[in-house]
Amino acid sequence: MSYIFLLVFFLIGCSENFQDIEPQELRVISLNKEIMCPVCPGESIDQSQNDLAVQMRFIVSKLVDEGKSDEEIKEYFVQRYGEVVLMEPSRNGLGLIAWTVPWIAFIFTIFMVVFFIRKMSSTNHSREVE
Amino acid sequence: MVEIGQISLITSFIVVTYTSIIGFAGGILNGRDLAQSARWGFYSIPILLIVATITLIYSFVTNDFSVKYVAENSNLAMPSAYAWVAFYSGNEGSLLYIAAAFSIMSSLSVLILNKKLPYTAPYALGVMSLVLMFFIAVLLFLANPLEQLPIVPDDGKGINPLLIHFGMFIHPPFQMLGLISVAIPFSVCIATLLSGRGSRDEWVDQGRLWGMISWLLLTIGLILGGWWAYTILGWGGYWAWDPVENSALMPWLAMTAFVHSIMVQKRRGLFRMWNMILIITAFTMAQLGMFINRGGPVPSVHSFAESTMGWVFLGVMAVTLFLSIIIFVFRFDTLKSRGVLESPISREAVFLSQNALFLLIAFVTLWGTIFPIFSETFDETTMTIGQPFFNKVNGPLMLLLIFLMGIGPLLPWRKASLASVLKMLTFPLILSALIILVCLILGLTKIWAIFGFFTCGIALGGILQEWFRGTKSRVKRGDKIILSFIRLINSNRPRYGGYIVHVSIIMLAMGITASSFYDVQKDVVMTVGESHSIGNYTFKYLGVSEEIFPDRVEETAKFELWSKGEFIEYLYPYRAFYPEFRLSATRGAIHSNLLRDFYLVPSDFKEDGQAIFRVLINPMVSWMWISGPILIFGTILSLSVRRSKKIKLPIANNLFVSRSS
Repeated sequence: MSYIFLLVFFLIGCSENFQDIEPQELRVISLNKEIMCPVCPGESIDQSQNDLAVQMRFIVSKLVDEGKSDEEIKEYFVQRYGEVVLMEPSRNGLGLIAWTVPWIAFIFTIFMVVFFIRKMSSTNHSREVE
Repeated sequence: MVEIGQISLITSFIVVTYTSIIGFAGGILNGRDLAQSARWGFYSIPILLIVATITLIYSFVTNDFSVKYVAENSNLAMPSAYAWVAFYSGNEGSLLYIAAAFSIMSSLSVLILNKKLPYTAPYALGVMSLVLMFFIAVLLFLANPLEQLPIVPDDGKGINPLLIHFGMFIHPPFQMLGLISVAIPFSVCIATLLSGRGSRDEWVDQGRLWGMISWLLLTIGLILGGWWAYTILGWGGYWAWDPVENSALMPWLAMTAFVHSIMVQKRRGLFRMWNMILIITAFTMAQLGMFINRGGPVPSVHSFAESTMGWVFLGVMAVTLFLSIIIFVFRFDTLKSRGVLESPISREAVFLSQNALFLLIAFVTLWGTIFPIFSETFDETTMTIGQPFFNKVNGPLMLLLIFLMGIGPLLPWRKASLASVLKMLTFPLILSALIILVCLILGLTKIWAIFGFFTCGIALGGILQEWFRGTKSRVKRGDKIILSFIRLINSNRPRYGGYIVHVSIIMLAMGITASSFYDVQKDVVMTVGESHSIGNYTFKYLGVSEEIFPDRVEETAKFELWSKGEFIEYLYPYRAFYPEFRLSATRGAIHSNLLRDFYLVPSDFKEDGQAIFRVLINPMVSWMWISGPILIFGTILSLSVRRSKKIKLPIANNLFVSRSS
């Protein structure tokens, strides 16, 4: 029981009350995490300390203040830097392939597992028949 | 000094060429003298490579800038303790490190293999010699760390400042040794195939031993890498799905699958082929990792060892894979399973699914890592596959994995009835239900986080139940609780050691789930004397001091940290600028406890006295770092007993049955 108590206790760590952070600000952060810094490959503008990233962060928060939607803001950067600026590929065109292949692989894996479990069990029967 | 190193490198190349030929010859002709000669030759290689290593480190310590590599990776200002880090901080030195460390470890393995598997050992020695030969050849002909400059510069270029961190003394050596050490179980497997002894399961114990050692090294490397990124890169995260991180994760995934499925072969005589395939996959992925790390085509923050020779590694990977497949196909007939899978509700079946899932995650990771190359080649649009993609695709798969980790050990070998499984799952399900309830009471409503905690609860519940039952039955016999718990764990170390590793993985998963869903961050602009609050924390900016070092300018801010009106401590986050590298490194100040980390990192100090800081509150991150030592303990515990005598029995029985039928 004490273990359970411990576990529960630690979950409190997640449940801080952070009401001083506005939803607008949260949106800016999550957008920052989805836009890549063009001069520091692989790093989002949220993560990067580069001057350009700082400027881009500023633009994001400005656009959010202006009431632009997430899509519009992303489109704004795509037009300037190309699709490479998005941290995850878009869900159309070539980007769609990136997203669907894991699904195909997942389904294939399930089929393979079922197939092998069946196959390995069936050798059981044939041997018993012998 | 350098000449001595150069000579020992050349000698080691001659010796390793000899041992690779004589090793195989000894195996094929079954010649004891040949095998022995190869062994003695092989044992001399670590000595030669250590000599080469010492000469290089000596050049670093004495600031001998006539050596090109030293001039490129250190300078007079570098403290001499960092000679060790500088030694492997670049391409050439890291290759020498890999060769030297691998030669030591493989010599140890030959020492043991020779006793345990006398017939396959010469082949294994041959395979390991070939691996080593490749590295020494690269060192001699393509990337010689002892190469000298015609004109000796006054001072070197200096070490990459990001590497000046305590973690750098351990993370890269473990990571690199972890990757190359996959070659040892790989050699055992190829040697078994070559010697045609795959139909006997004699290699299983050695395969498991070296597989687990290599797994352990990889795991330590990964956790330390995360810790390094968290404490020095100053963005408050620990894992970015960077190509090089991915390339270290992929062999780890394959090795994790292997150390599990090898148990199935050990206990049940199943998965013979599968284990060989796994270890070949793991080694291929480890080589792919080296290719990506050394000037591969994907951009990464790990480009410390970048060079133009990535393609050499890719070529060797292709050749290794091709030869392995040919050997595998030729020995296919020796790998038929002896046992049979009796029921889909059995531990074997769960292991099979878990294995497949590990490979699936490895595949998806590979896919995401190399997709940008595809998109560039076929469509001329450069695309980024970053963190959000991997989190979305791999996250759920990993949860599924933890779920299987929970139920796998509860199921017996061979077969179980559905009713007994449900009975076993009662306690874990109650525990997880409780966790969900607590989450909801605390106001944690993100669905994936709840899923995460739920699966962790199932896995933890299963282990607690096992421990509780075992201890209880011993307590009934009159032992004390703690004593009987220790005796329980001692009674079956591979099993209970494994549970301890599982507990540490659950801690890791809890830490990852909590910190990725419930982290909070805020950028604040502050002037001296100002305070700000986030959550229960209040922090007051007391000022900044500037200090000038020969190689850098450091700006250190001083903060008071308060929690709920109580003073906790002073925090000193700093930002250092290295003019020669045009690089600034920030180091966050972290106040850490078991609940959460308070993480403060400077982004910018402005002329007018204002400064920008980023504050993060990351729940439960320290759990991830604590899980490391527990994991090491569990792994060592589960390796510490050989139980081969007991285990051979069921397989021997099977042998008997199949012969008589």
